[in-house]
Amino acid sequence: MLLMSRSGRLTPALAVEKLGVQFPQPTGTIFAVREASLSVQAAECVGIVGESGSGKTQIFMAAMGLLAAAARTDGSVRFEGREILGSPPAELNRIRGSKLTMVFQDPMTSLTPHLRIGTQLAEVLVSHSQMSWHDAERAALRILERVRVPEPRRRLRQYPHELSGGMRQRVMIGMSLLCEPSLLIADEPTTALDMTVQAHIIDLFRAMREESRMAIVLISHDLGVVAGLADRIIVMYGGRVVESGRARHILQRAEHPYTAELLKCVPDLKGPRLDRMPSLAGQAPSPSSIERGWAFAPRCPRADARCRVERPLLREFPAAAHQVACHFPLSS
Amino acid sequence: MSEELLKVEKLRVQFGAFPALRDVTFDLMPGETLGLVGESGSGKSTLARAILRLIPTTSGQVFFQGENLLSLRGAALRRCRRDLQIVFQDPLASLNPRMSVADALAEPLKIYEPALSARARESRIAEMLERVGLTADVARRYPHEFSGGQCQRIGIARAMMLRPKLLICDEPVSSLDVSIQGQIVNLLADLQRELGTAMLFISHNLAVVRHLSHRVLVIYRGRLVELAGCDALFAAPVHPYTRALLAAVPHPSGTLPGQVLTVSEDPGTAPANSEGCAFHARCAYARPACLLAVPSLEEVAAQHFAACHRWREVVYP
Amino acid sequence: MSAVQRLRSNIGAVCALAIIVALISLALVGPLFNPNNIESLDWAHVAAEPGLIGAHWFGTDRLGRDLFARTLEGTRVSLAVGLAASAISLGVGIIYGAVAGYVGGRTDHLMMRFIEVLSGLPLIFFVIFLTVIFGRSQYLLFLTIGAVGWLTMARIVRGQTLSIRQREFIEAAVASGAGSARIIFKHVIPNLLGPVIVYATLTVPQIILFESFLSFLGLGVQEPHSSLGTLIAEGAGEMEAAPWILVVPGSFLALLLLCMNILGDGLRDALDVKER
Repeated sequence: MLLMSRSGRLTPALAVEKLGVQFPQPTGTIFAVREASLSVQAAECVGIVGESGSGKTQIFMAAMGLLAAAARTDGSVRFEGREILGSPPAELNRIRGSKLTMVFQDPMTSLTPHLRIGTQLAEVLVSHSQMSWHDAERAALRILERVRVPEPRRRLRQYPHELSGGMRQRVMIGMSLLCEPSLLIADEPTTALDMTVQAHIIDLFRAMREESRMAIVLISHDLGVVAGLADRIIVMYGGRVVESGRARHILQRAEHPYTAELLKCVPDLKGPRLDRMPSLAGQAPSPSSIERGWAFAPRCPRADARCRVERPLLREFPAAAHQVACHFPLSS
Repeated sequence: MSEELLKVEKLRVQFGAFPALRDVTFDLMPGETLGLVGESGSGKSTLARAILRLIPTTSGQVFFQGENLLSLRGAALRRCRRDLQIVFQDPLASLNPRMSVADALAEPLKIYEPALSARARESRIAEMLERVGLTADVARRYPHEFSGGQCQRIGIARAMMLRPKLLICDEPVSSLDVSIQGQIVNLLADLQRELGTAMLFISHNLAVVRHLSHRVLVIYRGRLVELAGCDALFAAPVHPYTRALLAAVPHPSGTLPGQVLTVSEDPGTAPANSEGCAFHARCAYARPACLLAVPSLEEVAAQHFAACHRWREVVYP
Repeated sequence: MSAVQRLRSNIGAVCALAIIVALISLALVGPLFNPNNIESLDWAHVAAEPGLIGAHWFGTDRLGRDLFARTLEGTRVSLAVGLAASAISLGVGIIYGAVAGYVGGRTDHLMMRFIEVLSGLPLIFFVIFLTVIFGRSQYLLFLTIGAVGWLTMARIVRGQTLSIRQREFIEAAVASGAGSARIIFKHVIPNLLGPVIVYATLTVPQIILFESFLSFLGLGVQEPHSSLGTLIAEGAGEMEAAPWILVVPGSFLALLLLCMNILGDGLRDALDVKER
């Protein structure tokens, strides 16, 4: 169901406005997210790309209400038009796990080790939709078929440790689809998996996109994983959004130097063997460091004196659907 | 015929009933980088640990610099270890959290060159830190103060302190961001050029292996399935598993070739039978005949070996 | 957040530490401010209530001995025994446990069976036996109590060693050519100090209590010296007539034990939390 706001425009599945996430510590504050705004439309797949410490996961942990107790947030996060940032757990539990779901990097620690797969799946349905256990187990079987788990009837009776990593990740994805969510957030879903398994999971996401109207957020430090799936790509650095636009545009003609550098790091096995493996020099800023000027300037091949002192703001360039935070975007 | 630095012959490692490595045979020349590619459960880390005598082996031989490595004990083993070092996958876990960087780097020197004065040790440490791209003041600090990439540089510095002849790298960049992996890979390439160290570079990521290796070995479920020069392997892979691995690497344009989907994902939780080809259950080219005998490495082209009964059908469809 | 910072922010633990330090200072420095000593008998003020007369701030006992001096000496002795015996049990226990845990195999098996046999022996008989053979002395007291306390420490250290042994930096040390001795002392032991320190601070009160118990039974410290235990024993007999003879040393002991337990808990919270 697509929600229309009064102005007639479609309400985004998720709208993050000027979100900041801090962890005050005696040694100094950790700024996990400094100020980030983004939106995910219904039925859209958005890829969020950035290095470790860029804040890409913390934004969605904030949206799901999964931040550590010490966290302080400001800004707003709206899910289907309703503000959810800072909501009490009782309210969040009505949408978490059913309409707004999340799949994490390590499937082993996300599944309860002492319960059978079938039980864990059925439990989600029974607690969210008042289904009977019998119906819930039938639905669990259907979900396993949908996520292409071979021998699904047998798997229902197995325990998590009896499944391989790829299988467990499929079960996690299945679990998040049980209640037909409006938005599925996948945090580095393939990072812990082998390459061939990763390819299959990416293919599964592709099939899910074609089958349903669900919005998907795909978080990764690897542009290659996101490239084949995303409609739009958002690039983050130092807790801020630095580029955002249609995937095709970014992959072929990125505007931000950081995005361009990240693209160079995606290997092209069909191309010739390069002498030096491409990488970025230096390292990403730590969330506990104080921002002096623009945090990316020391690593940017195009930076000059202005960049070291003045942090560029996010603006629309070169067209309305595309945003860049850079003083010297690549096509200028 | 030149002397091999490392010669592994029919190495077999069994954990109870589970065969982790089966009849692995290969050699490594001085100054060469041999890439070893395989997925989880393939036995690649087991091979590294077996060579380093960190785990016991069931049968087979390992010769290092002509000496029978598996039969050495005590002082003789320690002497060998000086030339055979390792860099681990998790950079932070491989460093003692209670030891400063200086202490960690000084330890190999204290073990093998005890006569060295404290001042001489300090200058060797400073020199090595610089060589791996870190500043000398890093020495006073502790591992948890550094990022993953920096910790890995420290781990490499520790391994290279005594200029070993062979460096085994067990997935050294897998836990790092894609944007940082190149820094470490290029560092290893530089060190090899400067110091002539041979490397056994283990990884599940073909793209990374491609940059460093002279030759590449592919391992599946404890057996070697392909061995070739680096360019030959990437240009014309023969074994169906190698082909699937290559096809699984996402392409920057965003298109994913359909070939990988001919390989089913789940190796199954049933143990691989010792009869026949271990890849049979997942292979698009498999025929019942593949189950009759274990394929051995055959020469399919010059200096290019593959263990597949039906390789001719794969290469010339 | 470092362990020290976490401890500092735990108000209970900080207060407990302050009180312990205050008690120790008092025990060491207090007698300088009081003219009385532990032995002199003040016939004029026998079983006197606490007050200012004759500088008997805590009163006197049945023989006219000043309770302030005796209590402070008792505190000194109890603390000395507690700390010395803990140090012995720590030293022996850590080395024994680390070697058993790291070497493993049959050696570990034998070493642990030995501990189990010792654990089965009744403690009291052991102490009585040793006291009878070697006579009574403060140093013997340290040794016997320490000799018994190391058993649990060794078990704890062995458990910690078993889990540390699996960690990757131990593999790295083996691959570097480090021998077992170097690995145990430079790699294993420094990494298990966290839980060990915590356990040690919780054993000190146990040991002080045990010493008090022994002295109460007449096996520990002898006249004219006192420990908190002997004072309590004496005071128990005078409970109706002169309750302060029991209350003063009893309060000191209770306060000391309480603060050490709180500090031990605080140390465990500060050291156990995983660094983010």
